[in-house]
Amino acid sequence: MIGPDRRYRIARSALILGALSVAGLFLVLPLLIVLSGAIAKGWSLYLASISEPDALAALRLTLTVTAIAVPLNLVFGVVAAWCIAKFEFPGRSALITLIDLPLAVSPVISGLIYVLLFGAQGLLGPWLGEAGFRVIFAVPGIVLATIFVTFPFVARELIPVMQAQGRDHEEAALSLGASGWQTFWRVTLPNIKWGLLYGVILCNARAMGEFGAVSVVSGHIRGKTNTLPLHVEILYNEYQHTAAFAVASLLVLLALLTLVAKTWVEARAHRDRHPDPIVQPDEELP
Amino acid sequence: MSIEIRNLRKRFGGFTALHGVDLDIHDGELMALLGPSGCGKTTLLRLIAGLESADAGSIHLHGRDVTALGARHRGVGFVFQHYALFRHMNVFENIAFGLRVRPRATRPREPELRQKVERVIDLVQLGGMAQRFPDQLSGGQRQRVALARALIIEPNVLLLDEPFGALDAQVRRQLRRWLRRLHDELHVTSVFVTHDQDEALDVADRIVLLNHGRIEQIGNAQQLQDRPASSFVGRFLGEINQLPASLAEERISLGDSHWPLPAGSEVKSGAVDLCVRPYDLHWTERAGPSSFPATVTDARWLGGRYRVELDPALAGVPYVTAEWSRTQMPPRELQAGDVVHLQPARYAVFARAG
Repeated sequence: MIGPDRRYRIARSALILGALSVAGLFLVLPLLIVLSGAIAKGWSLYLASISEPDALAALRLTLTVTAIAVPLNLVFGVVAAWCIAKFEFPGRSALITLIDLPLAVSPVISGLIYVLLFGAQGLLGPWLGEAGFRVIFAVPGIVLATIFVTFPFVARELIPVMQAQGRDHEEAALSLGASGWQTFWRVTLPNIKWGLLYGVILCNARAMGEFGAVSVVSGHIRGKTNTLPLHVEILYNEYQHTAAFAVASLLVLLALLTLVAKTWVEARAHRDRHPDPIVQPDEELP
Repeated sequence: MSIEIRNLRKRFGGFTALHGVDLDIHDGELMALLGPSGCGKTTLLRLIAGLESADAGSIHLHGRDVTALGARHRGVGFVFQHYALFRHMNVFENIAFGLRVRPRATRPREPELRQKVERVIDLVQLGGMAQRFPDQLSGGQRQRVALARALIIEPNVLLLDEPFGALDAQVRRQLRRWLRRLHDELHVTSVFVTHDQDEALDVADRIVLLNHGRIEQIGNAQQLQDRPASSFVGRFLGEINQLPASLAEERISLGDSHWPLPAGSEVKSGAVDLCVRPYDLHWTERAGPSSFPATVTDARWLGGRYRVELDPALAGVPYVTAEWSRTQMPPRELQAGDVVHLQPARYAVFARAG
């Protein structure tokens, strides 16, 4: 005879085992294969693969694109979330839908949109070409595509945080004589800082890892318009498996750093929300 | 005059929150805006603070037209129902905020600022709490921090939105006595919003009773309770018996009983409600032309007074309530089923609603 307590424990163990094996099979195992593949032919080949000029150029480009796209999306995200969370205006729900658009559209389509806009036969392309400005198959196109794809992350993190906080704090600051900027820097920003940081981390991770949209607009010019994910694909297609895994391990490393940062932010945010309570009953007022 | 409001109107989409409100609040007065939820009292308070903008009408603070001025420039202290303390700042910095955001020219220097903040901390009796964060304070303490934060800017007027709404009953009663004393000390013109009539009666000098975006009556507690301007006022401020009567030729008739029309009544004839407070419904032993019979259904000693429920045998009136002090009670113990004759000592009549 199995008691309910025992049965509960069996069910729990089965569920945990199931979740762990799925995670292991689909998440951890590929990571291990990437790492073991990267060093399969020895450390010297690994180091050579990642210090090869094209790989370094790809790393540099990825970091450059990220360094442009993330700060811009940080500003856009804060502005958009502020509008949506703190004001009622016509078109508000349309804006909410628009923010989600990049998540709904396939990244390849996102890339194509820019080709159609800025390409040689595109809407603005010829005009820009005359001015001597190349967007498609050049760095500006990659930056634009990355911005588009990573646009939702900051705003989506912030909207619920800002909505939950309401307008009381800002109104209190205003009634105490603070200007709009003072209110933002001293009151709003400290209130949303963990949500903002979390959004930035997610945005950053996606910006570094984006493949589809960037692939369409980049043109795959080695050493010039190849980002890390594109470089990995090229190496793989050329049967340079060890080099591909080695460069991929760089992306894995960046991803792991992101995870560590994310965990740290979550822990800090939790601690901020739940400080050590000092039990404080209401005392008698004389 | 501290606050002069003329013909103030405010709509939110299709909902009219205020229909042309006129109100004068005197210097040093403690005024309550009272009314059921949705009556426009909070909107009125937020309009005075500049947190909402009016559709029409004007607001003057100490003679200055502030209608077009934003909240930042009105110099109004506002205390929010849920405190709205800055959670990342300690008590000291919360209170100092209004001084720190001033332009450099008028911002006090650090030693002077410390002195000012500490003085306000003492005023609200939070000595020793300066380094605490809002999450480490009790509800009553947070409310006092919010009050201190509003007071430090030396506001023209102090506005409080349901200041005790989020506190439990005992703390609330204590804090409102304390607020009353603080007001007597500081004499800053104050307006607070409440839906609790006891709170308004207990704390305020005068009460503004609002309903559906209109002022029903302005007056002190006694004026509102004893001379209500409408049956809504009568019902809202304490219990009242409403008896369906008819009015003709200055005479109110209820069954076989008659009463003269009180002076100043607005209705002249037709179906009316005869409104009598429980403590104004006296009893007599013998039937008379100005009393009606009723059967006792329940009598209870409530400490200081008896509360008696009676069935008046009138259509549409299941029961009436009377309250008598020990000396007003009949000489014999009342039992359920006893018949007494009730005589309204003071009453008001209003046209019957609906």
